[in-house]
Amino acid sequence: MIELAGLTKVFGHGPGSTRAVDDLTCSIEPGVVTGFLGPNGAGKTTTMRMILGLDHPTSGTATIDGKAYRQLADPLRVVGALLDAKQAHPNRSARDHLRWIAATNRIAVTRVDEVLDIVGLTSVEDKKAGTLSLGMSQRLGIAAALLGNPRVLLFDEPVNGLDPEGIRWVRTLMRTLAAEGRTVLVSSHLLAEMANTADRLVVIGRGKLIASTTVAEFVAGSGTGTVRVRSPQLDTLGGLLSGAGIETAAEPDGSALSVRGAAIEVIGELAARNGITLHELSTQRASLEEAYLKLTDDAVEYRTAKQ
Amino acid sequence: MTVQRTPRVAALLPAVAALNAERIKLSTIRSPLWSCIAAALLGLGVAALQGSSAYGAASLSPERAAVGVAVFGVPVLMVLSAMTMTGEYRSGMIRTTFAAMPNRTLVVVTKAVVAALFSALFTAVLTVGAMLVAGMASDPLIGAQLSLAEPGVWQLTGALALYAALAAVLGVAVGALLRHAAGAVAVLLLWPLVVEPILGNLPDIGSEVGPFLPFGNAFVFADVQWLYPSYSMPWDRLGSLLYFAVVVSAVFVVATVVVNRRDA
Repeated sequence: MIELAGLTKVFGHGPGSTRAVDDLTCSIEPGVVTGFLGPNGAGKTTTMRMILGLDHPTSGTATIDGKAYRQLADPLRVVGALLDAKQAHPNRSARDHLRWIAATNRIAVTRVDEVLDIVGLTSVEDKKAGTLSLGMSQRLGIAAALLGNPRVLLFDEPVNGLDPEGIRWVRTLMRTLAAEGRTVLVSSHLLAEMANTADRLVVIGRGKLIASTTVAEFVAGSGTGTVRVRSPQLDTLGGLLSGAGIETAAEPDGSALSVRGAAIEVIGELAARNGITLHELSTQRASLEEAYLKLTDDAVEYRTAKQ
Repeated sequence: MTVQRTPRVAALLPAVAALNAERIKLSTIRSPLWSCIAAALLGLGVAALQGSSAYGAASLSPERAAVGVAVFGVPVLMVLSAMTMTGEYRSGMIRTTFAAMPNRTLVVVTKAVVAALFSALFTAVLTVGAMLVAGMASDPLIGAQLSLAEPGVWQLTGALALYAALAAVLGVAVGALLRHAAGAVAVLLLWPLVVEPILGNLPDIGSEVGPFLPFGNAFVFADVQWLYPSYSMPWDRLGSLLYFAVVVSAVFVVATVVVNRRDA
């Protein structure tokens, strides 16, 4: 289990400083895949680097099963991480790259061959890391993460640069690792990518925690199932709905009502009983993507200029 | 998916694991080999020139025969030592290293130990090689002091090996501080080969700063004549060695503290 408590990282000093991660508190449970979501620049990578003891938190703590990463004796046997696929010397072979990593944590060299086999790189193990395609580099990074057979795994944007077959492979791998009882944290800026992979979501924007929940709750809690109603007698209908204890909101241009928490049948029957003409009665099912965009909209660091 | 520990190896200290990892890193890429070839060509080439161009009644001293090793060979090895650090920063591999070994002091010390041992050993081989090459290139009378039977040859070999070891530690420290190969190479080559000779030869103050130049002291210790004038040193040869060692240690301590504090 990974626990973040008030984790904060400020880059720079004074007025020009940036709060890359801002008072992040949450826990990432074992046995499930947790999607770590946020727009680009939201602080996902910085958070992961602090979990791995690479960056020093300005305040707060990140612990793995109660211990700070830097206190772990053979950390690769506890935590495996893929941060950047290109983190290998370009002139060293894939196998030799894994060999030195294994040596640091006294992992037997037979395990190097095992992980090469798991990620499907055995046939190119003698190729130089610099000549591998991005997809193969990702696999090499994943192989390095798996070396110590760790119970906690962190993957930063693991499907970047992968072909559809590779994406499916990563997805299956994550789910398998979680099913084995491991803690799996996978970051992504694309929700659609996580929807099929993750069980839980930790959503951040501008370094702040926006949501820590299950995928299902995340969708449910963000404007799903509203009903849109258009009618020439909109005010009357609005009054009736409010009278029935149903929450309504007028759309900004006043042409329609957005009704929350009432089935479409209830509204239709209510209108018919009162002789109200309806021009539209439709369910607005917010997609996962919309829910995500809605939540992170205020928190997008780099947006294109508004039209 | 099971990780097998080899019980024999598992009992060993993390330091041994770190040394082993550094050994694998150094031996699985080609650039160290090229640096060694460059150091050998420079060191032995100058020795051949010294041998063939020596004339007169006085025989060629081992120190003169080894000047190429001391002045060019060792700095190349120092740059190679720095590259063991800067190379990791360039590729981002340093993060893999620090994630695998969160004890950064251990990482830097291990790199320094490996670089020092390797540089010392290789410099010793080059020094002996320089004696042989210079001896072969000169006529027998002039090469009389270069025989491997002469104790002076072995004293010099030991002195240069010690100098190379300290220089390698300095190389690792400068590489860790600057992180970029270009900067580290500039510092490590300009410092001993240009900056110190200029400072030491300055008209009025040269004789005053001269005794405190780190590489100047290293050359005094190794008894190698380089572009420095002769000063009256405030200490003897052993003092010069200690002075150089203290400077190297200070830079190394600063580098280790900085590496620990810095975000990787």
